[in-house]
Amino acid sequence: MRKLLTAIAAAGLGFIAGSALAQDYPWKPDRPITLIVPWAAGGSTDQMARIVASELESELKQKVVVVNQPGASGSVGTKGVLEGAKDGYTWAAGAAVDIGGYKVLGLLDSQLKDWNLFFAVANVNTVSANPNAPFKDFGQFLEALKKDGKNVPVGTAGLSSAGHNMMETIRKAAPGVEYRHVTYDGGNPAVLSTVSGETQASAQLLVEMSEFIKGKRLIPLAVQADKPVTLEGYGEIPPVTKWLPNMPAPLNYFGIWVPKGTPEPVVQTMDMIWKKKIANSEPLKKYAAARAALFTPISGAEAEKEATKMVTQTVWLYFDAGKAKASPDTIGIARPQ
Amino acid sequence: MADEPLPLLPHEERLPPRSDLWVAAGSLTFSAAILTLTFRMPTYTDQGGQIYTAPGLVPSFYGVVIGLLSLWLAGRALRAGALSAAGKGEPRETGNSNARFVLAAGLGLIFIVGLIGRMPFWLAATVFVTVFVAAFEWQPGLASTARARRFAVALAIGLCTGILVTLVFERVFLVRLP
Amino acid sequence: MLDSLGQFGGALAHLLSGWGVLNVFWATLLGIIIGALPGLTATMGVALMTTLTFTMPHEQAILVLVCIYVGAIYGGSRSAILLNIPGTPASACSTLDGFPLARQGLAGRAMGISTSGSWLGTLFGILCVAALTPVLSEIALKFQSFEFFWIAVFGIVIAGTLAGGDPLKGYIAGFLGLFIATIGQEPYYNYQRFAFGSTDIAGGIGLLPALVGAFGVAEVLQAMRGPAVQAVSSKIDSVIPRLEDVFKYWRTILRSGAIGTFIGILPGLGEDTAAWSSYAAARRASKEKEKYGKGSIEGLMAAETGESACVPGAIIPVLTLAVPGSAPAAVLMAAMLIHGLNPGPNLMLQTPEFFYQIVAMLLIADMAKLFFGLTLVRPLLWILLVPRERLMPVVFVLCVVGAYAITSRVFDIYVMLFFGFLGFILRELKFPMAPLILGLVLGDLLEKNLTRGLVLSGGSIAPFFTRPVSGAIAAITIFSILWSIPGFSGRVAGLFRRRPAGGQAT
Repeated sequence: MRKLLTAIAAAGLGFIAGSALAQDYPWKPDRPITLIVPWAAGGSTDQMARIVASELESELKQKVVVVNQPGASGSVGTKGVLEGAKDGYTWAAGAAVDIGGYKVLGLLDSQLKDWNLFFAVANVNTVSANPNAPFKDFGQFLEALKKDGKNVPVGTAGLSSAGHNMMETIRKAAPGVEYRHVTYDGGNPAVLSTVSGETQASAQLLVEMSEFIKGKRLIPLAVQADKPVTLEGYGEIPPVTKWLPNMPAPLNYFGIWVPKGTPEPVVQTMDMIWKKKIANSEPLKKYAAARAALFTPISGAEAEKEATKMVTQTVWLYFDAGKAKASPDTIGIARPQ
Repeated sequence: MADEPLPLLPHEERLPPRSDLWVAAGSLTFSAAILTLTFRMPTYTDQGGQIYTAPGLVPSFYGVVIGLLSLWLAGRALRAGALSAAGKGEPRETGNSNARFVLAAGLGLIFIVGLIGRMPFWLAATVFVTVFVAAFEWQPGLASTARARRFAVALAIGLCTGILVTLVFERVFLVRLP
Repeated sequence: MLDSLGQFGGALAHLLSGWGVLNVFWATLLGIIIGALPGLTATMGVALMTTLTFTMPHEQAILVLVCIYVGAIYGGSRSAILLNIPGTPASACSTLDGFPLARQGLAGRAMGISTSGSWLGTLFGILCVAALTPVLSEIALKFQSFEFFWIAVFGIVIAGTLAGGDPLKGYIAGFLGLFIATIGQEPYYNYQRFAFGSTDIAGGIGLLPALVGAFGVAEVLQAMRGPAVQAVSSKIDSVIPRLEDVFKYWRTILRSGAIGTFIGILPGLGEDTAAWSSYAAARRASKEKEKYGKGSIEGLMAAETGESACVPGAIIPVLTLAVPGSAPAAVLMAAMLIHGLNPGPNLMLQTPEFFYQIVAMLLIADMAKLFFGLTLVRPLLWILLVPRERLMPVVFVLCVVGAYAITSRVFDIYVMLFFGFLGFILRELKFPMAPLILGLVLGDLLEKNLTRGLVLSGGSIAPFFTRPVSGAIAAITIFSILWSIPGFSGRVAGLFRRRPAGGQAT
């Protein structure tokens, strides 16, 4: 109800005060901005998007409305933004690796370089196990997968999820590894399946596991990174490179974006906000620290360069597994060395 | 359960057997269409997938069940004498008017396909509600003053709906309207 | 226990702080109006309000929806008593004794009975929610994919068999719903089923646009097609419930409350079945059978208590299993999902405060209903005089906005329109709607858990039958299917009956 009140107040203020903005940004939005989250409410993208939205609101002095449009691995909501008016009033949120993969998977004719990117946080993938599972660290987990992997159920959020991505990368880095892939509706149900014991382990984002790890319902085996990650209230989680030195560990960036072709003042304004406001955002820092995510307020060319690492690795993984509709070569993504 | 059967609800009355036979034919065709489409789906067995994870498995199962139930329905209708003269059933006086239905459905269709998106939502809603009310309250042989008054009422309802709905949704609930 | 009471008190205070009270009042009142208007049902009211309350904080939004649901089920009896037309299908049973009472000049007393019966019924149901949900959640936590698969099948079967109408057509409708749920991207390979290359269809059929269509648009079309409703205004005596009516029939109230709640818990059986079942049970047990159908106070009380007890009952499986107990509860569940609340066995673990809030919401709604029942019955009657020619186009506009508002996709409006026509045609062909809705809601649950179960077992179907709970639900389900086959029930009954079946039916 308070939200509603602010909305009424904001609408009223909008009428009276017109465009009396506190800041001199080149773009002054005169109506609410829509931020489309192409995933269900409550998930990792949604949580991030809502914090970013409130930060933008205070800076743009305009309401930022978060709309959830889930469906088809996020491609439905993203398509809406791509095809809508390119006026800066409609944004999409998500994980960079998703928009990077749509074209190769044949879900949507769009790729990373078609967007102006603004990242807020980066999440690390993690493998965790049920406390009663027969493996206590990542080394034992690898042994179990090599010995009888087809009978070790591992939960993920599905084919294009970060968790499945990590498992496939492990499979590539450690020959002989197999696993029984069990898919769930999202990161949270996948992690819960390991907590309840339906699966022995799950691979998902650390944000989605952190509460259970702190509550000792899950044992973190390894993070997909090249150095240990510290989780508040638990301690250090070893990196996967301790066992598999050659395994790539790109970061999974989350943020918001608009299609290229959006008026320059919009992009400039957002760049300024990103450098001034988002880079010092306490709520985002707090969110990142509590959930063991990395706070990465980057935008523009830098963001595109960083995100390309994960995208390149992922799309080739899809291609090699026979899951791609087109070779990444044909859309200008060369095979990583 | 009860000592004597309780009165039936409208949706519990049954159709005459002849109509049920047509319904069965329709749903049988539908099930055939589902099966045709599901058999064309990939099974992903070439990628090491198992047959129980094939995308077409569950929908084709539903298709088969719908088909079997349709056959059952057809059989029941035939046993009840669908092909006999009595199977056609008596036309009952229900007070339903198909003309009113077609008018309502047609106006709704025009509103959604023809008006929305081509003009501001408040105008589309106003036009739709005004025309709807005016069309249904049309009575032949009314004096022109009475007719004008009725149209004014329709227009008032239309304008109120269009403007209120738009204001409430766009200003208070911040939903963008089509 | 003390801790629970404390949490409950906290939830109550939280909900009623600030604008909460105002929300409760307008929502309950709107619910009663929606219920009272023939052609507007509780399902439609909850579906439309889900989109209206979309941007509110989630507790307030769900509070509004609960008030609408509780109010609409109660409001339906106004028109049942005064017009002999059930305002919602749930009130069909109340016409049997309510209208005769009104014709005898006892409309006010009938509404008083309805108010007290409905209030007590919901109260009974709320106690069941508070007592049963934690226990059932604990059991449901042990459920895995195998069990959830059978729960979904059980829901479809029960709805097909018992929801009223022709069971055969009920099953066809149920499987049609299941089939529609498979449209779009499937869970395992992200293959786009039945999409014909459209990204919109690949995203799947949105549950709320489909429900708004099947209930809202279809009902608008039906109302416009049907004969005009003649408003009967009769002189109304005091609407204050008489205590003697309540004390005299306390047995009936308790029995109907229990039956109503139980029917509510069973997936897919709604308030209408609850009302008919408690009415039938009351008549069988009654000392004054001859009055039934001619203005029996006991009969009206049974119907009203049963249908109102069903509301909290239908919310129990939503909270414990993420399986809706009735069509309006299905929409309520969809609304919870949209607001990022994850109903199901983990609710008690992850967000126990939400459970207390739901109990508090139901209680608040029940109290608001009582308040309006005692004070506002008379002024509300004018609403029954609004001609449908003027009401229905406005409802249609709200349907369009409602379908669009959640995801802002024009595609959803077309989905709504399609389901409006589909719902209308299926109703004309005497297909019951409840199994269709349940199929639509449970299709995802059924398919994903079946596939996941098979993946977990390595392709063996044995665990679906050999795991104890799974096996038990499977047995009940299969028995329910057989039961609905004509001839089978009679034969089984024959096994248990020593004497030859004669004039006395069971």
